[in-house]
Amino acid sequence: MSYAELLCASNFSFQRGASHPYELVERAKELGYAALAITDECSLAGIVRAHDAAKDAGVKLIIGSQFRFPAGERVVLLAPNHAAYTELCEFITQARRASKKGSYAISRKAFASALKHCIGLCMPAASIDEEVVCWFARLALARHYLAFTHGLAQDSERRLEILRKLGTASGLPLVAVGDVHYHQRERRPVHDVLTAIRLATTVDQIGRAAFPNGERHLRPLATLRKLYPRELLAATLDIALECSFSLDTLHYEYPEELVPAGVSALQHLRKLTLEGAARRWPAGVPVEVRAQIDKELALIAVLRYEHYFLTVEDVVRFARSKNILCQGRGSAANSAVCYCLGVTAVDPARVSMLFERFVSKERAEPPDIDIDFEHERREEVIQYVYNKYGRHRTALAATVICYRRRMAVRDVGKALGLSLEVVDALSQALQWFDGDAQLPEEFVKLGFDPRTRMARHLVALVKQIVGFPRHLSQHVGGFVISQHSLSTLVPVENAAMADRTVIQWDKNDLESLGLLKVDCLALGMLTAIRRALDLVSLFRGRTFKMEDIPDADPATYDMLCRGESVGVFQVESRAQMSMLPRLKPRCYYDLVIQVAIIRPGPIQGGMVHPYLRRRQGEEKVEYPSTALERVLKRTYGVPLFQEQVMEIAIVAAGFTPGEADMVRRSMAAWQRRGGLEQFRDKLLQGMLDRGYTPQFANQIYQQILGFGSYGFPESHAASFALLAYTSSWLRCHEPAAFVAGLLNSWPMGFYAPAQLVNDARRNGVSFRPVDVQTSDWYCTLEPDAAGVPVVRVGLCMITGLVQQEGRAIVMARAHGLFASVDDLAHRATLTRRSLDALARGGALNALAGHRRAAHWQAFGVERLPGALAGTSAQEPVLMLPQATEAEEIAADYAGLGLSLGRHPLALLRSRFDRLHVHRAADLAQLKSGRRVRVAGIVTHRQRPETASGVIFMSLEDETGISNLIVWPRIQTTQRAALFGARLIIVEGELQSASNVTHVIAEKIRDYTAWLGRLPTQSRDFH
Amino acid sequence: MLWLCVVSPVQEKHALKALASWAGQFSSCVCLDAERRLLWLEIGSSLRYFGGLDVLLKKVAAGLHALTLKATIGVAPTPEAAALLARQPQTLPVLQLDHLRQALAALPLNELAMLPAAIAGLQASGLTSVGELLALPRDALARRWGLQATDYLQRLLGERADPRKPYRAPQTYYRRFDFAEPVQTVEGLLFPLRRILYELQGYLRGRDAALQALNVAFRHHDHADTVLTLRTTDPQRDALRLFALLREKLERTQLPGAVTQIRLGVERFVALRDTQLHLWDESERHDASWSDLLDKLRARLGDQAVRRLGLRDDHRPEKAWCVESGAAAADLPPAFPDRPLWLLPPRPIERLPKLLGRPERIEAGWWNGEDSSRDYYIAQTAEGSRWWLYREAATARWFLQGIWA
Repeated sequence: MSYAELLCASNFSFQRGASHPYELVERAKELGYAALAITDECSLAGIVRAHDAAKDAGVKLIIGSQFRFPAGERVVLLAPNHAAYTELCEFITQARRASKKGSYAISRKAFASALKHCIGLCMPAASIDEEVVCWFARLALARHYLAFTHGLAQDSERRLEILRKLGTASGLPLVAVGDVHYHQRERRPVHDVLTAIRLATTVDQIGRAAFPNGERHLRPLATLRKLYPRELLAATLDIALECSFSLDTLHYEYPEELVPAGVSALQHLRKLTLEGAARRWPAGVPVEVRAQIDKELALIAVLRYEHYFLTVEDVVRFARSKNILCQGRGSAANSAVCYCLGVTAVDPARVSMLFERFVSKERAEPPDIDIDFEHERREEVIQYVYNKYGRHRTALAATVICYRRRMAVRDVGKALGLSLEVVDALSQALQWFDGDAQLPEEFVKLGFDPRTRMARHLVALVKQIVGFPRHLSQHVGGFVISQHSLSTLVPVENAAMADRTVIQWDKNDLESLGLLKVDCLALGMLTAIRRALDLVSLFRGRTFKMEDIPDADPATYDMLCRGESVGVFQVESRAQMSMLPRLKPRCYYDLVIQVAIIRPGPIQGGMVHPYLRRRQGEEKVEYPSTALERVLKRTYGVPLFQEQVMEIAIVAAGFTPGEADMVRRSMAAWQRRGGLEQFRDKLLQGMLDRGYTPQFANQIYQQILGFGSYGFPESHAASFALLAYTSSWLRCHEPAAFVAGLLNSWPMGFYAPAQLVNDARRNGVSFRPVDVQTSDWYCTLEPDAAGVPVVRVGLCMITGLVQQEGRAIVMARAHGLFASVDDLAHRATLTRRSLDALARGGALNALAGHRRAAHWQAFGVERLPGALAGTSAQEPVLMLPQATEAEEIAADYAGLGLSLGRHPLALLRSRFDRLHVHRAADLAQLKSGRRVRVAGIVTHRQRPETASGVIFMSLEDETGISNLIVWPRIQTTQRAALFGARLIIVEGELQSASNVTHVIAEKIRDYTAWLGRLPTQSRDFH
Repeated sequence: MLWLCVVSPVQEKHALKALASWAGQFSSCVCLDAERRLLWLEIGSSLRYFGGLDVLLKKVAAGLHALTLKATIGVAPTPEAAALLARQPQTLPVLQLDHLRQALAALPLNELAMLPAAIAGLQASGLTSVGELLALPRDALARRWGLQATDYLQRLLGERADPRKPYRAPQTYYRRFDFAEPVQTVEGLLFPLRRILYELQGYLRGRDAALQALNVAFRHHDHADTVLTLRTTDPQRDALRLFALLREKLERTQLPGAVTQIRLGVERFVALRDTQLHLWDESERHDASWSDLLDKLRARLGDQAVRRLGLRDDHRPEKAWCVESGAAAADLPPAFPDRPLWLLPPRPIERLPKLLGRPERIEAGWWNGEDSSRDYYIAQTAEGSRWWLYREAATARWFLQGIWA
């Protein structure tokens, strides 16, 4: 007799289940179970993964969930059909929504709700309460069973007797369940550790909260036959037979209200597309574009994606109507249809991309469009979506937060009874770049012996728990919208943010089931661009929009070729900056490549240098085959984009498009749990069979590995490149508006305000100080004597000033300038806090004379009640001494985050000269290979995963930025200065080639003390 | 009036009070501000008694040194000025009110007893020294930081009286000392004991009294207190002498465990020259409660001699109970599994009696290397008694662990 397991928790019953869904499914298959139910606690979060694994393994999966009452009894609900599944989703949703994030609330009353299609199993508590069974028997369910687990416990046999009697009395049949918590016996320690974590105690203290033995695993049929009476096993099969529901039959409908009555969705989409085309090509739509549109619409019709495109169009239209800048990206975004709908500005004629490459018939893969919005206004879009479709039809996708090494070490260490200090030290010691081999070494450093039992347990348990789901969080912006209430499709629960709900499935789950989501993401650069454009419009007195920026501007590309890109979207990082002079972008498509090339995929695959050599004509452009020439022509025969690599798998290794897509999606999972070998063999063999060299095949394999987790597709790069170009053009031709736009949108990007301002000043932009008499809330442009725009620093830059009060100052000023600090305080009704912030930021300097006087006067503001307000006595003017230049600069940085005075290092220059320290700007003129000393404030520390442990540092002095390379050898000997110092002098070898200059650090000296009280900030390891 | 201010390095209230009691030997007017960790001694009236300021300062310094306290002191005609001086690294005493303004002028603002916001505000306005502050118009200061700021400055300069409530030492002496970490060795106890005895000496001098008996109790983490009573035939108040006696006694005492706290108490005092012998009243005995009895039994018979049975939260039968000598057992939910009353240390058996029913499987202990997996059975022997047996999974060997009566 076979068996179906009907009560089984996966690790999506957080801190209770100790096996992944796929492990349970695969084990059930091995043991020859007739079916396996995954019944996580009030959750279907792991069910899609189980579903995928069950399909792969050919195991029958039953969908269910279990619910625990405080007294210990549990009710298991199984979904035999679609109606029951819908009931179950609604039931879980109610229980979850009635409680705070991460927990659920059930009551007996809740079970009175519609569950009449579900099969119910009653699992009484440790001491069996007859009353519970009676209550359960009266529930309106399709079927009722009393569940019995033979756990080889002391009371197992007696329990069976009692349940039998109760069954007879209440008329309920008994069914065998394993109450499974892990797939095999060996997971008992993991489960004990999870129990200890859940109860916030240690494993040697959990006592009888742990299971008495390891029997809660999937046991062999032979064992079960010995333990359970035959009719109890037979009952499992009866139930399994009745369960026919599969997630594959889920029917998902897109909201219909977007289509006006009387027309089909396709007709409507066609109408909108053609209207858009007429706007894009006022002189008439080119023939080939017309043909492309028809082709795309035909494909959309076949795949029935009309509603998806209409939804995206609707969101974008809303944003545009509110003057919110937005841009789509992703596989389907770069289509003629999306260009016409205004979703992207990537003219399909400009990019040699074909729509079919992104949406294809063979792959049943949903189109993927991410829409970026101005980060400060995305909330308006989200509220629009919620209001338009209603909260019950809209929810965010979930993100499953999994145990990473650091958290695993912390939790497991605590559960094993290690002291908090040791656990903290251990998890601190594990920098994010440490590999698997690191743990035992760290033990030795902390005085542990890796051979001890404790160490071995820790290592083994951490290894198993890493990757376990820990809790659900909300996706950054992936909305799922449906025609019907979402909770009939998938359980919905509360998110941490008020008024936000998330479904229990994540992005991969949705993809797996072919459900569509619209990603509404926040992008700071869009805010910055919109503000810069507004500033230009205002200053020039005519509307200036993104479309007005001319294409292919040589001066813009010249600037990028010099590696000047501070503030520019996507290419402002230090690695990008040193790539720019080598790649020398001259056109839009070069920027697409520039955006995509500094990524793990191309770097790990060793593609960067071959590409550069071929581009510069130093190497012959060759194609491995004529078939691949078509795929690789646009990148000189070197694969750089995710799409190219996938296409190689198809063209050169004989994968089907579906298989290739599967590879992309499964890569991360394979790297985690194995499965890569099979794929590798298939790829290499396929390529060898088609006559490619093993070397090339291996390169492609490496690159696919790199793309696994950090894939960067051309379709995204194409959209990003547009913003990179837009921001570059602004930086080149409207530098004042550009830097003001960035400052007004900060925090964003790679650089702190002080660095942005210093860079802009080096490029000739003038700034005027923040001043309550002239500054607006945001930075603005003012003309200088020659009519050139200069930046007036806005009140928004002042540390600690509330926006509301800042705006009150501007409003009050409309009635005339302020006569005194007192006058300002009264007319703008400022709090003491704000006055203090204004004084600190230097915004009262003009009014009071200087910063110290400003402080004195700000403190002197009296708040007299009622009629006395504003009548406070005049004080005699007090002569206070002015601060020194160094004090002023330090105060600027503290109160404003930037200074318009000299760079702090300019003040120290004479001291540096005595130490023979070079200026950053001088390095480019020096001979490569000579020894140099440079000094600077540390602005960045980075350790790319692709750079084998090298740390890149950036130093800023009054002339510019110098770049350091720190090899691991230096890192160990000079750790303190490297990681702790804010001002350093570095000695090392100068290396310069093709306009890129580095210093290979040899000696690093900490001179932080010379900064005095000057605050600085460095962006480390982001 | 002349004030000597001590900035106490210790913070706990009872330690500060002990210090104030100690200071009673130098002044009949000692004031205490526990929040600011300050102790003031009015020394104007006792200067002559001690033979001048230099001598007094030396004595105070020596006394503090004996207490192993690194305290800084300041001397000035007003309490606040003395406090301000005491907060500086090194300052000369200021004896006359007229000199005060000048003496304070160069001091930084940081240690003024004004609100931190006020000090920060003054500094932000470019002021650095007390002199600059005192030069400001008072009404401007009051406008910004309230009357409490100007009131403070008036008290600082003696422009306004600054009455304080003197500290009254208690009639009986009691001193507690808590260790941050339990102390294992007698040496570790001697150090604080000596300090406490020096404090006591100061207190006795201030009261002009002596003692003939003192109690010292040592608290332990998991044992009853160890209590020592020291009696002297002659009235004593010399710290070193008392220390020698106590040390001798302590070295003859067996402490049951690490010490977490010392408590020292003196209830009766005698005049130093009063040689009348006071017999300890033997009838003053406490009710012998159960715990007192246990304590006494333990003290007499040794700790290991007194034990009781307790429950432990564990699936494994041999770990589910324990013999304990310490505090009461944790509150465990009573579980009454069907287990034999008579548990034996597991002993291997060769011949298996007849097994009844299905096994009970118990697996636990992987975390401390005692991982075991056992199948327990009930067995019927030929003699008719019922045994509780188990089979160890790893070795497949059988053991007897219990017998039903």
